[in-house]
Amino acid sequence: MSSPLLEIKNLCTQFHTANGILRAVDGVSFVLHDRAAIGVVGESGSGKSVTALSLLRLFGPLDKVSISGEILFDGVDLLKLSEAELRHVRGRQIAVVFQDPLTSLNPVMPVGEQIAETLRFHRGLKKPAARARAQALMELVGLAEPARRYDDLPEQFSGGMRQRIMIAIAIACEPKLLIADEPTTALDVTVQSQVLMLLNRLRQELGMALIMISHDLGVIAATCDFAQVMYGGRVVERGHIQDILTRPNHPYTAALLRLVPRIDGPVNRRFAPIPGQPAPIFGAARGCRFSARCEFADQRCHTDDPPAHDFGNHHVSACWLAQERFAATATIE
Amino acid sequence: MTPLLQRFLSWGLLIWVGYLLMITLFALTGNEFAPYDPTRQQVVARLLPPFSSSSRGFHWLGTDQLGRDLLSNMIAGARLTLFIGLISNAVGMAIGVALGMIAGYYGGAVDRLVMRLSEAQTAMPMFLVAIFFLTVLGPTVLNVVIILPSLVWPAFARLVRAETLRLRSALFVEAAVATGATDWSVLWSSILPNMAPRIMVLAVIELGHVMLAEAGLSFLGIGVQPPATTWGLLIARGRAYLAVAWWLAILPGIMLGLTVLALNMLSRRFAATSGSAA
Repeated sequence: MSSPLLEIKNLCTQFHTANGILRAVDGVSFVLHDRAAIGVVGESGSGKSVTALSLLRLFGPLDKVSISGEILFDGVDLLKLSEAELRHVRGRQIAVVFQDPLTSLNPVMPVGEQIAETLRFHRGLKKPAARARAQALMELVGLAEPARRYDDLPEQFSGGMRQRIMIAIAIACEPKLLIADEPTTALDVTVQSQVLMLLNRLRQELGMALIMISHDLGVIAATCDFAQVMYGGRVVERGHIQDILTRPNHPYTAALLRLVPRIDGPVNRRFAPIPGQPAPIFGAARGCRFSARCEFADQRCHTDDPPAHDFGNHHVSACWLAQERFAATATIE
Repeated sequence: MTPLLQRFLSWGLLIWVGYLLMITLFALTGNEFAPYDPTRQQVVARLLPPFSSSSRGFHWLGTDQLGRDLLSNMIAGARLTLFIGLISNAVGMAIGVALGMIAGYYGGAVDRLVMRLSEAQTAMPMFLVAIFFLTVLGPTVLNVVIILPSLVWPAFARLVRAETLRLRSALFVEAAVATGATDWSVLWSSILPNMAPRIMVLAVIELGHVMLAEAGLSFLGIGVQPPATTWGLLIARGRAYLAVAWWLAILPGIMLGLTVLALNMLSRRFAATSGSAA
């Protein structure tokens, strides 16, 4: 493979809040090749969404954010682009599908118009051409009778259909990279799998790369071949999805996996939730971010940053004990 | 559309809507519906009470000190009263909406500037400023239309700023930004249409305020000048005769009061109906 589509180097995203500096993303690096798919897993507050938002700087005008590091997309550092230049990347080269389809659409604008608007902006299409293309896109994402439903308002669609419309907006300009930020969290399980299948199909047809953000390892497994687990703004483990699922090398990943219900497991199995909450990290912090909740943590974990250790086959884990304790023994069974 | 219209209109409201339509008709047609020429004087038939007759005929609402028919004058006054009110209100609304959206969307120094301006506006006795302005520049219709918007824009700016703040963090606005929309297009197609119903409600209320303010200026003699006439001017002229001919001031006053009341009724109903849709 030649140079990657996306290369993130040491990304740090900090929010300047009234309580001090919040380190939402703390030194994240990863590489995504053309047409590849990577899953980002983590609890709320792990920094997985902020990582994605940092790519396109999708923060509110009042958020005081500082982003450092490098985000090389097609060889261009997105962090060095001006707001106006970045606007031509948003939607055209990198598109986002958000979590909540019920509130992601403008409630007073016909859905077809919302698809056509992107086309008019990025492709310079005239109204009739944009309308025709928008209807073709509605067809592509599986909405019946696009000509008739073009002028309907979002409230006339179900949640799953609205997410299809969001996806149609996202793929309208055939971006090279699609970021899906928990795209199925607000949907029913049956609709969820339909949307995931749609995303997989579109990714094949349009040759897009995908960053799938989710707290659900099942969603990641259904769409990605590579996954990384985030905790406290850092990547704690990454590897091929099979390796992550079957041989987790980080206590946090292992704890997450223990919480996945299994259809072949015992019927009245009890789940052991990870004790405590992920604490937001203000100012300087030392040691492994997970050490406060980790059942194996020792003195070293609380004071020193754990080194990343490569277990082969691109399976990397950042844990002091990973080598010693997990490499040999930890499997999910 | 029809169910919405049904929900909107009730018999009680229909009376108010009918009243406003009548006023609008008067404003559009001018003297068409006036029984007599409103400027025609007839000294022998001066200060006639309502429901009396002169050699010209029957005077429903009586005559003034120069024998001019009061009903005809009130009908003739509707045009300028409504015209000044609508124009001033529209200008004030445009200024307030634009400033409010900029303040709410960009925040920071622009926001502070706009908000301090609107607070200063509210704190200052703007009526005195208007009096000063009109005294210096002369009481013309144009000057009245220039000064009146300054009375209403702060109300629009504050509402629109608050609504913009609320909508700016809405997910669909973030989603629009994520598709590469410019600030202008976010404000124009995502934010403005979503607060339009609330702006309309306020606009109807503020129209009443502007009409009252215009009447106040005309009453003080620094608004519209004769022979042009507005309801405010009629009230002002009638004031001198309050002891002998109460109808000259009271009847135009009632007409103005009813108009403002009707506008409030309309806006209240509008708010109640659009609340569920917006």
